[in-house]
Amino acid sequence: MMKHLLREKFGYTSFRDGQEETIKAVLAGKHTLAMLPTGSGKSLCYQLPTYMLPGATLIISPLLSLMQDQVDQLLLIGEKRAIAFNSFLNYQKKMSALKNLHQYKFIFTSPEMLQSKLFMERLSEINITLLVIDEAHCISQWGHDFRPDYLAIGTVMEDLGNPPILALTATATDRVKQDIKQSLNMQNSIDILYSVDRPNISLHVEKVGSYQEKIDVLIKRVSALHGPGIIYFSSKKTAEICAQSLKENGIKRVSIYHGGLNHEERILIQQQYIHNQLDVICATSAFGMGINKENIRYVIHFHMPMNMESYLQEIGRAGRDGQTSLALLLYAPFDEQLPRQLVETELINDSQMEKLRQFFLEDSLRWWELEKYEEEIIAIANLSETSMRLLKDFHRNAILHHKEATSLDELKEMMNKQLQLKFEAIHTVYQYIHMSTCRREKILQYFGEQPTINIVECCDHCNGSNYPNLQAEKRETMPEYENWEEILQEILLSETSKNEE
Amino acid sequence: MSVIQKLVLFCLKSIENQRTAYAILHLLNGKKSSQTIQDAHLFHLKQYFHVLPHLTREEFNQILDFLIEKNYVTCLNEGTYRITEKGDIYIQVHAEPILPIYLNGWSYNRMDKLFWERLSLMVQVISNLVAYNGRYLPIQNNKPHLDWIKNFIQRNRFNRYELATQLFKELQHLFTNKKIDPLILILRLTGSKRIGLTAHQAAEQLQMSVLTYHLHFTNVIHMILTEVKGKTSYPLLEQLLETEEKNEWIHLTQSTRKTAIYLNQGYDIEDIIKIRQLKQGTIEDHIVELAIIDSSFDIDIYVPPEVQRNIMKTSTNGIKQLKYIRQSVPEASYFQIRLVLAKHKSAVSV
Ligand SMILES: [Zn+2]
Repeated sequence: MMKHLLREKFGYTSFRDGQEETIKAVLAGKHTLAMLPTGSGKSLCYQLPTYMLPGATLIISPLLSLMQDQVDQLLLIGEKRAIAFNSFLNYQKKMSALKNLHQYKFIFTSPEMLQSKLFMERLSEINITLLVIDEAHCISQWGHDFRPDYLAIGTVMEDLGNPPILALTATATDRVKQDIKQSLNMQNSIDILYSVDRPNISLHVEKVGSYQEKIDVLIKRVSALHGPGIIYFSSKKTAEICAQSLKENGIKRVSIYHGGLNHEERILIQQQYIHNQLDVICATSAFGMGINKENIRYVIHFHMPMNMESYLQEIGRAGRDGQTSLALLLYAPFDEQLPRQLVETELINDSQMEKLRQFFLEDSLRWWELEKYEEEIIAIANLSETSMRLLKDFHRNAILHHKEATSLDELKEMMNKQLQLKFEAIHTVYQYIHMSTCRREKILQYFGEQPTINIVECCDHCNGSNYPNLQAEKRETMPEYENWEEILQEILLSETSKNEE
Repeated sequence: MSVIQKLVLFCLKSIENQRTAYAILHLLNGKKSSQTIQDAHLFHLKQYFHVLPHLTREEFNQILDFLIEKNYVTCLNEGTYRITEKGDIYIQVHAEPILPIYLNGWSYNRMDKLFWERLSLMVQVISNLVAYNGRYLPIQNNKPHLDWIKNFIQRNRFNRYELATQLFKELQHLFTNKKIDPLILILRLTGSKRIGLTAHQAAEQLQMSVLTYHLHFTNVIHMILTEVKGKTSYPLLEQLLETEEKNEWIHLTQSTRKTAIYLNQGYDIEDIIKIRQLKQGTIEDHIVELAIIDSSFDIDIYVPPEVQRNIMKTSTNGIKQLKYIRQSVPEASYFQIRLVLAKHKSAVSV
């Protein structure tokens, strides 16, 4: 039955590592914690069981864009009973979605929405037979991506009728795993844990003298490498500059990808890449979440990653076909400054916190009507978009528990702890860059795993700085028609003429 | 000189320093103010209304600076410019064809976006249909368009190869002997094997700025709209122009009817406010009017059923005063109360 469904519905002939075990645990009605490597098709672990369970599956996911990608993916296999219920929907769309909620089989939502009374009421009326927590590490304060609003999940399980939980996470340390189980009250869960190691990805770091030299090296490396690749950037501006430089140096099939694209552009660039019309994507971290491309040969980081967890997720997009692939991290002196700055702007620092305190203590009513003062608050405390969101998440929870403005002290403590953790995480990456022994060993050690043995193309310290030999893909080049009629013919008539022959 | 610079120069000549230069920016942006609408008619610039909705003030200023530097215009006083003799000669010498000739912004400024979205979707769907490929992501995610195309395929489900061949013929006929470069549009089309380019990529391939590309692209779409409208030689493309109207709607006022068409295409209040540049209150009035006339109009998405029940409970007590209902059903807005009463054909006294 499972195999049949896998073939008929999803078009796969066999399961990948961990999928079958996870699905069996879920179907047995057990709480399940699954830590599977990136690219192992985690979403199948709840998509397939959903078809075998009587009710709907509720999937809680941290990123709005990720949700839409998932809905798109389901649409692709002909599944229209999927909806992303989130703050993007306006009042009318929300109401009509709520009204028809019972018709959906897949309901994607954000933790924030779980605090909407109306939504929770409707959810409790319908039959939820599986609760999926995607990116479950977001619930842990020890995780690299802690989100205060994830804490709310623990409190709504009863209203949902205590369905079995499937907690999915990509890479997590032991401490984080324990935290997840405790927060979701699933101590007796079945744990399906796979190694974070991807033996077919060779790990390299290259140190250069300056920013300009980094661009030069990037161009040189990309020119020499075969096959499709992704280059990750922390800033959209730099991604644009480098894409332009690559084009000027003869690497024509390059495109940038970032969060600001509209639907049409997003789909077109993803599809061009999947159809091998593009070789290189210069992306901010928004790229890659929803796309399935097996033959990505290399992932380059132009900027230093914020932590080992996200680094592993991003390089994990390479080599899903099992072929030898390359992860290359470029480093110039003082590169660690950028991630530190990013961390500082996304959190709320002590002086901002003091300004917030003063603002709320001046007039205690302001605390209870925070929404009204949003713009004022942003201006007074000079908050970034992310830090304002943190404040709002915290505030929502505080109000729910009737806490006064003085509870901001808790937030301050939380922020300081987060700042310290994130600086430590950056430092771990810094150490990874500057170490002189096996890089793979360091990664496995960090995630509490035993070193794997006998990896042919391990890392630059084991094998030297020469890159592994990447199998040159047979490049399916798109015929470069100059003539509009030929293009039109290819789009509309190529199959028609085949049929006549 | 780029086509955009030419366009601004031409417009400056047309307004003959009777307005500030920003009147032109508003015109090109398609600002729906009565001043801009008047200007468009008065100076015979209707065809350029809303043809560059994304042109920014900074970009516009750069164009003005360029024209001054080249001595095509001189600055009179704060914000007004006069075309110089050199500029005048330039326009006369390059009169034909100085500007994209099919632009008709006044008539098509709402339809062009809709038309492109449907056309690109139609090409993608038919291309995948003949390839027997059922798994692909639609490049448009607008629900009304997806419903529309589904409907269209059902209506035209004779031989799928004939459908593809017919569409090919219509597009081929459309682009033959026209004063445009068909690649401007064709490069953007997506099929089963070939994925189309984004506007940025197409501009790059054709070696123009994104803004210039946008103007040419709009010109092509307007050409198609003019060509296809009311002709029998484009049976498939003509269907892209459909807007669904119901019989009851003849009783609506003109403005409400437009709102009804948008609502029926799946746009919501916020979209319509933006598109039509009307106040929220006005659109709400339209919706109330629609609820009175069209008995099949569903108000559940505007008013949750339990709120409807509460409103009706209060009003069946013989009380039809908005203010009173508002007090007893505090969770409902005035709009919601009026809508519920309209739906149930109750006379309201305010
Ligand atoms: Zn090694």
